[in-house]
Amino acid sequence: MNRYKKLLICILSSMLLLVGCWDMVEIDRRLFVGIVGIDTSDEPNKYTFYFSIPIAREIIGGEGGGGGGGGESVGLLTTEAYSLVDAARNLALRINRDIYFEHMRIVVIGEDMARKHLKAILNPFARQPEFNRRSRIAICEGRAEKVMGVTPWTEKLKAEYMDSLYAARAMSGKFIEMDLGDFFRNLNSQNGNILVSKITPNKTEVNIGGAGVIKDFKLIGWLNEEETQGVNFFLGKVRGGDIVVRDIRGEGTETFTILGEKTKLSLKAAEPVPEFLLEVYVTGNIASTAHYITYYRSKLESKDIERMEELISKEIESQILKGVKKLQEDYKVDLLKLGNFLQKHEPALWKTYEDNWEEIFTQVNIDINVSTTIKNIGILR
Amino acid sequence: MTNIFSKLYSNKKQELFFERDMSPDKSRKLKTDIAENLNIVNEYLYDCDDVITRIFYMGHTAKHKMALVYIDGMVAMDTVQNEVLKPLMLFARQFPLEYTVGEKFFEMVKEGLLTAGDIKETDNFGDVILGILSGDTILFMDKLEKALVISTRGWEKRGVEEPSTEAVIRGPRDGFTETYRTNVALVRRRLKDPNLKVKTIKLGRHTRTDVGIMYIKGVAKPSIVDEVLKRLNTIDISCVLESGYIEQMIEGDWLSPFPQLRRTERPDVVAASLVEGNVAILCDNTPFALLAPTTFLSLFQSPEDYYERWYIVSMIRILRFIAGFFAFTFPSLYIAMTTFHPGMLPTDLVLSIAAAREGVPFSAVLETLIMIVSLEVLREAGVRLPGPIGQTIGIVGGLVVGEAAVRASIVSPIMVIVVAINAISSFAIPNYSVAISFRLLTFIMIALASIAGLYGIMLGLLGLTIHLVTLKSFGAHYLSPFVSFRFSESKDNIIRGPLPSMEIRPGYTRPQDFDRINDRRHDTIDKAGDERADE
Repeated sequence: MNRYKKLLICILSSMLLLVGCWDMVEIDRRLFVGIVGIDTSDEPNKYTFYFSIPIAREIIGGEGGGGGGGGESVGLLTTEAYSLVDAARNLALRINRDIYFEHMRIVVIGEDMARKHLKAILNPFARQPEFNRRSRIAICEGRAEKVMGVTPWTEKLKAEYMDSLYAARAMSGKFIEMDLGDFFRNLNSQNGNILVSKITPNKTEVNIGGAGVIKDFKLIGWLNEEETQGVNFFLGKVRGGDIVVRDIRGEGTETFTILGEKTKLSLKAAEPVPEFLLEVYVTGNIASTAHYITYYRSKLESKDIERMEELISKEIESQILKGVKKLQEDYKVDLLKLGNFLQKHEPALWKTYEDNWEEIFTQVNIDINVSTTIKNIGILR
Repeated sequence: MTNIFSKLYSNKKQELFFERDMSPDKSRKLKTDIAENLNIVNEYLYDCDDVITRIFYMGHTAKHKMALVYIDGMVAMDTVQNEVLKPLMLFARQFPLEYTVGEKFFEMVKEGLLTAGDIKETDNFGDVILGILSGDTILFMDKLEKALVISTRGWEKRGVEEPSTEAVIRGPRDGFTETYRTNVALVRRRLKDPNLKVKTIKLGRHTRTDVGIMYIKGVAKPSIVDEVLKRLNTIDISCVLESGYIEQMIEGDWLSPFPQLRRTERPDVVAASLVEGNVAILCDNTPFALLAPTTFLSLFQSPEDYYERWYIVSMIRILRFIAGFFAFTFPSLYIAMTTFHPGMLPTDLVLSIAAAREGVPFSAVLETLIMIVSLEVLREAGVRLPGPIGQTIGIVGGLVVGEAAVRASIVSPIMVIVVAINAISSFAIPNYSVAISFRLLTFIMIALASIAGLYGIMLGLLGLTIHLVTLKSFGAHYLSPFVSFRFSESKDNIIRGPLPSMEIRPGYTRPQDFDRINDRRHDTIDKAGDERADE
C-alpha cells in the first residue's frame, strides 16, 4: 500500500513538472491585440500587418483621473512580414512586452489582400489555438490601414467599438454576423465560398453594412446592404431590422419592425434544372405609419392589415430576389446553400449535379413565397 | 512516517522520570486508627497547603474522634458547614448517643446524621485521595476501617452563557460551560430518555479529567460506541486540558486538513447529533464537546439549519458551499486567470486588472502572498488582543493593509478585493476550525496555481477529492451522502428539504433506528381544518 502511494506521488508530481503550460506571464507584462489588420505590401511575398493594442493605463486611468490627458488610448504597431507568426516575431525586437491574441476582437483584411492572397493569410488563424475564435472577421473596402486609423467617439477601445457593432444583429439584417470559428467551419464546408462581412471606414466610424463575396478563397465582389439583407432573409438569419414600405393609403411610408423569421426550402422539380420553393414567414410589428391613427384590428378595417402585410411581403421578396440575382448572375457562386440542401435531402440528385454545380446554380429557378404576419399594431387605439 | 515520530517520542519518554500513576493504589486499605489514616493521607498529600484537615469529636464526649479532609476552594463551604459539620457536632449533641463504635454506628452516621446528598463509602486510599483531589470531603472515623466520601464539590465557575463561536439568530442561547456535570445536565435536559447513556472515564495522568461519552442506546450503532470507547481507553497522556487533546488523540488521519470529529459548544447540537446516532464526547474543563462520526457536510451545517424554514436554509446552504469553494480557491483562481489564462476573462476586466497592476513591483503570486499573510497576521492579532484594542487593530489593519498598501503601489486594488472575498468566504463556514483549515489549503492552491495555472488548480481539487473520498471518520465515509448515495438522504445535504419530508435519520451513522419523522400532515392539516379554525 505504502509503495503504491509513493509511486502515485511520483506520478502526480511528475505531472506537475512535465506540463507544457509554463507560460506564466504577469498580466501587466502582456499586450492584448484588439484588432489585427492585414494589407498587401510592396515587398514580394511580404504583407503589412497592423496590430491595434489598447493601452491599459490610459484606458482605465483616464476614467479615474477625470481629465484623461493627451495619451492615446490605443497603440498601433505596423510591421511587414511573411506571415502573422513572423510579424509577431518581428515585434518582439521592438516591443518589450509579449503579444497575445486571446482578446482579439476583429481581423480586418484589406480588399487588395482579399482578392489575391486570402488563403495564405487565413492559415495561421485556423491553425493556432491562441487566436480568439469569437473574434470577427471582415474585409475592408480599400486598405485595412484606414480601419486601423478610425477613432470612434463612443468607445475608447476601437476593437470594443467594432465588435459591439456586430452584436446589433437584432437591429438589422444588413450585415454578416459571423465569428472566426464559424467562418472557418463554413469556409471549409462550402469549398472556399462564403459571404464575409464588409467594413467601410470613415474618419470617426466604420460601417459594417454589406458583404464581401468570397469564391474559391478569393474576394470577387461585394453585395450592398439591401442584397445582403436579401441573402440573410433567404438563409433565415434575419432576427431584426426594419422594412420600409409605401403607405397603403397613398402618401408617405410605413415602417415594419421584424421580430423573427422562419424559412422552409423545398425542391419542386429536379429536371431539367432544379426548381426550389422558398417559403419565408416573417413576423413583426408596425413601428410607424404615415397617418396619425393606427390601424384597427376590427372587422371593418382588417383589410388594411392584410394589405399592409402584402406590401411588406412584396418588399421582402424583392430584396431576396435582388440578392439571389446578384449571386446567380454576377458572381455565379452558390452562397445560398442550395448545394448543401441537395446534398442533404436529395443525395442521388446531387451526384448528377455535383460536378458542374457552379454552372447549374446560375440556371436554378427559385420561387419565393413570403408571408408576413403583423403581430402588434401598437398600443394606440 | 508515524513510526519515526513515535520512536522519537518513545526515546524521550524513557528519559523522563516520574511515577506512571500519580494516584495511590486502590489495594491500599484504610487502617483502624484515625491518626494512622491521617498520617497516610499526609504521606500522599504532604506539602499541599490547600488540603485542610479538620479533627473533631462527635457528640458530648471525646469518644468519637472524627476527621474531615478536603481541599479549600474546591468544596462548597456551605455544604461542609451545614450538612456535615453541623449535624455531627451540634445536632448529635442533643441526643445521648452512646453507641459503641461498630457497624451500626457507621450506618447511623451515614444514614441518620449526615444530611449531604451524595455519600459513598470506601475502604481504600485510592478513592480517598482521588475524592479529595476532585473536591469531595472525606470523613474519617476513629476505629473504623471505612471512610465516607461526601460529595461537596463546588468551585467558582462560569455560568451558562451564549456560545461565542456558534452564534445563531434563531435557536437556544445556552452554551456549554467548563463544568462537566453542568454540560451533561444541559444535554440531559433536552433528552429525557432513559436510553441516553453517559459513561465517564478519567483521562490524563496528572489531570484525571472527567471525560464522558454520551449516546442513545438503540439509536447509536454499538460498534461505533465501542470504537469510541476503545480509542479513548488507549489514550495514555499526561494531561487533558481541553477536548482538543482527545480529538487529536483519537482521530483516524492526523495528516488530513479536515477534522474528523465535529466540535461544538452547543447542547442543542449535541442533542440533535445524539438523536441522529452520533456519539458525543464531553470533557471536563472545556465548553467544547466532540461528536463522532462526522461528515464533510456536517462541517457546513449550522444548528439553525433545522430551526429555520427550508427555503431560507437551502439558499443559505448553497451560499455556504460557494463560499467554502472560494475560501480556498479564490486567490489561486486570480493568479491562474491573470498570469496563465487571461483569455478567460472579459476584455474590460483584463485591461482594468492590467492597469491596476501597472507599477506594482511584485508578481501576482508574491502580491497575493503578501496580502494573505498580512491578513492572517491581522486575524491572529485581532484574536489575541483584548476587546477594545482588537477593534483598533481592525481599523489600523484595514487602513494599512487596504488603503495604504494600494496607495503605495505595493499591491493592486483588485488584490485587496480578492483577498477580502477569500477571507469573508472562509468566515461564512460555520465551523471555525474548518474555516482555518480551508485557509491553509489556500496556500497550497496558490502554490499549485503559480506552477501550472488552472491545470494546477484542477490537480489540487482532484487530489483533495481523492483524499476526501478515502477519508473515514469512525467507519463513516467522510463524504457520506455522496459516497454511499441514498436518495432519501438527498433531502438533507446541499439543500435541506422540508422537515416533514425528512423521514429517516442520516445513514452515515448507520443508526439502529431509522425512523425520524412520520409525516401525518395529510391526516391532520387539511382544508377542513382551516375552515374549522376559521369558524
